[in-house]
Amino acid sequence: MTDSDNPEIMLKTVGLTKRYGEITALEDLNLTIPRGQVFGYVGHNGAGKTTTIRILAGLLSATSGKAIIAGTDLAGDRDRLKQLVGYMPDEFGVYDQMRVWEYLDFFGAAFKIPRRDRKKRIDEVLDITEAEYMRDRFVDTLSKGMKQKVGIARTLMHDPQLLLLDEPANGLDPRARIEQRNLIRQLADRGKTLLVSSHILPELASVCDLVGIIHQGRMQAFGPLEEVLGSIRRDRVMELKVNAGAATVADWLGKHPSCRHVDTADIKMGILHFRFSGDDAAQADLLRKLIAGNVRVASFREVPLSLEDAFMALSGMTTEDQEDAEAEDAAAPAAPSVSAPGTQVATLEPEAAPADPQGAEEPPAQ
Amino acid sequence: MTNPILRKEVLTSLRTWKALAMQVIFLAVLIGLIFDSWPAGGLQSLGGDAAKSMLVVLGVGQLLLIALFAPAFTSTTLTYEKEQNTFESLFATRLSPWQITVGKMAGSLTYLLVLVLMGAPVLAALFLLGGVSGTQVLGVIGVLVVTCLYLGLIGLTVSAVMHRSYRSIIVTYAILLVVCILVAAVAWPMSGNLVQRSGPMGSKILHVIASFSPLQAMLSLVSPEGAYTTAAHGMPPYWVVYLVIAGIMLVAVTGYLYYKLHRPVAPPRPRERLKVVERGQITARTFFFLYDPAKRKPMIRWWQNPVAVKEFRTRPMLQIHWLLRMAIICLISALCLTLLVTVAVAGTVHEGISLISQMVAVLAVLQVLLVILVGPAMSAGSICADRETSVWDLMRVSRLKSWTIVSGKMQAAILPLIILVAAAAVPMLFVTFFKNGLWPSILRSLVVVASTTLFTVVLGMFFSSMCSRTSAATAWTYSIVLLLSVLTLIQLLGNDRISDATKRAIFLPNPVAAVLDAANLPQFQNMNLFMPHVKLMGVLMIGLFAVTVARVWRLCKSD
Repeated sequence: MTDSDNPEIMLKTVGLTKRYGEITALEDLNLTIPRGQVFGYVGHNGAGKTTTIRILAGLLSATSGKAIIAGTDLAGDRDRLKQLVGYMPDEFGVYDQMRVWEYLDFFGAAFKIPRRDRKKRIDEVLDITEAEYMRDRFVDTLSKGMKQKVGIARTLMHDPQLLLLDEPANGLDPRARIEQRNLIRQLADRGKTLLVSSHILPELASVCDLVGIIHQGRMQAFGPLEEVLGSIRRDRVMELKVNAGAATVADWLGKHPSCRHVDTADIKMGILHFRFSGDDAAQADLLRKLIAGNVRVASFREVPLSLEDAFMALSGMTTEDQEDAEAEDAAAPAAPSVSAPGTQVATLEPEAAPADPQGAEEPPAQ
Repeated sequence: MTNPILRKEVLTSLRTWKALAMQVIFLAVLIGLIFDSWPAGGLQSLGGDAAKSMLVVLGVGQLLLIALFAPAFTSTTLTYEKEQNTFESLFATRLSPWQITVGKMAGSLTYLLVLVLMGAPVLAALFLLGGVSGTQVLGVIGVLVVTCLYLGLIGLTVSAVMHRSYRSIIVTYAILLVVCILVAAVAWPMSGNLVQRSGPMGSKILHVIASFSPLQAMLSLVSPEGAYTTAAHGMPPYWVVYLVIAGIMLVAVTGYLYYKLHRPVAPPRPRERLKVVERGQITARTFFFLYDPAKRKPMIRWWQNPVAVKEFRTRPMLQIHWLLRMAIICLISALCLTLLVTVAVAGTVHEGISLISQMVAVLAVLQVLLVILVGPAMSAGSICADRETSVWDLMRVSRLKSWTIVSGKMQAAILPLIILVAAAAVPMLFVTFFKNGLWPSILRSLVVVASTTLFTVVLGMFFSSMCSRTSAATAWTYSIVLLLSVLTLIQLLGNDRISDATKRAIFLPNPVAAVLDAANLPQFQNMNLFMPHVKLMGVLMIGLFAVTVARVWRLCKSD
């Protein structure tokens, strides 16, 4: 049985490509999304997310490659595909003078749902989206969050199997985002497959089963979140919290051969972040040295890599831009990370820090 | 140019392809008028009749062209800024309200003045024929310049009040039609002179009312001895009163614009949140509106076109209570017009001309004008408005066929027009009581009205499918419809110089001329316009409709 015949595979794309003349908006996209999964699609503006979604919704034709939705080729039966796919664009218009139920009734009729079923279906989708209370309100008078709920309700009207949600969390307040996140999870639990694009990465990380990171039209990473994070991890990101002498410790860590990019943004709270290239034993050894050097360690832990970090790494932000920025910071004569007034404690003895961390094993005494 | 708004407005309005296209059309029409009316023989009268006749044609022609183009350039000046959310940014700059006012006014009027300047050499050509003085030509140019300011400021004022470009264009065209044509109509009874027939005070009031029209002013300037331009006793010529009125209007409108632009625009007033009235429940509003707009509507039925139902529910002018109001206004207007013609014409009709027959003609013209005025507004936004608001994509991903969309939009545009035309046609029934044998001409008139209705709607939908902006589609539809219906009528002013064949060819696409022929008006009867006009409109309509369906089908496909 091939993937395209497999009933458990909801969406499969093979070499999907879209070019506009010389510009390649999407290149060789290969995705396989099983039924009932939430796929988080991450990328910069113009990375190719909306192009992908519009191709899958049938609004844009691909230059090459193919896509199969629930066993139906995108180039095949258009009417069947329309029944399979529910599409919510990032900005969708609403009609003036139309109440919510009339709006849903219209799109129900547009999907040729019989009148009797339509009435029942309107009740169902309003119930699922918890939008029952706005049934008789005019759509154009609703808030952004309410409109998004109605938009999802509209998308669900014809009971599609695959939902394509383009930036659904854009412009929503935190409460509406939480509600939407729960709704997405709830829809997945009901057996729907969702492709959700977003810039709000923590939102996606908490609801997605699969993640894809796209950059300049090419998929950089695709798979379960943990796998994607693991595949891009090169250094551990460590967080150290000390009760005093954070500036001196930062200076010492900066000279340690296994530590790089000491981040002192939270130094006032005694918190330092840095990258550590050693293994678990080296990590334990580092902690031992800190304690042996009388550093008052309040906490010492490895920070889990976030989707945001992965996105930044894969889209080239940390490898080039961030390092350049860090180099500029380092070259600055009065780098606030180590010499900002008030960050040093009276008992610190900077000269106690070894000139050569390789040779001097102990961190500065306090 | 130190005023940045003025610089930006002038540059953006002059460098667009639309500006170039308008200039080309403007000059092409003027050249066509000269070519058509220039005396072919070597002999000319010493009195310069040919030049005088051409001055009438060119003066009125340029004025109508300016009236045609003015809304396209002025009525979206401020609404476009509001739609792009750039209007409020102006108030955050260090520009003074006066600079904003002057910049916007001068910027939007510059293009119209350029058109007048372009037409000046054409008027100067009349010197070659003799019989026209420099003062007369300067007078015509002066009235044209004042008219540019007058009509341009009307468009700008509407633009300051409205929030959407296409609505602003519709309202501006409606106002211009009233100002240019209907206001002047009090001075143009079909034979005789309403102004002269009224009492001393009444005639002066009617004289002033007619002087609001730039068309009446131009006619009184280029044809001072004309039957319809004789001033009321003791009153100066229409064009003098017009200049005074235009001056007062300019000051008033400038003051109003300064007031409006002095403060950031207020957001649209939130619409009343009507509480739903359940079916079967009767409220006080039911008696007032005849239909309660808050009444719960039924779900879309299987036999209904969902797009048509959606259009009727979402467009304010298509809602039942508004349609009822508009139908009543049409009925009252038709009855008033019947009364006006009766008063104006009674006792002055020429021998052999039936007052009752003329009633039919007047009512038929009213219906055609109604279609010309309302038709583009109903149809020009039908497709591009959905594209502008991104709703189009939602329709594309639904199971709606392109044919369902086109037919639904068409139903929504045609049905209200039928209701309005039917209301305006009611007095025709009364007329049949007074004279037998009118039914053939009434039916012929209704056929022309029906073909005009279909043509206008299809033309609007055609532009709506071709343009990406509703304002552009609306402006194009109004321009073409008015070009065919009003501008081609100016040959009536120089009819001695035009061959019958040419005259008939120009009148052929004109629904007003066709409906007058259909109503058996003697001046048009020998042209035999009725059937050829209906056939021509039919062919054009089928062609435009086919292109529209193909275009919508393409818009529904993947990009």
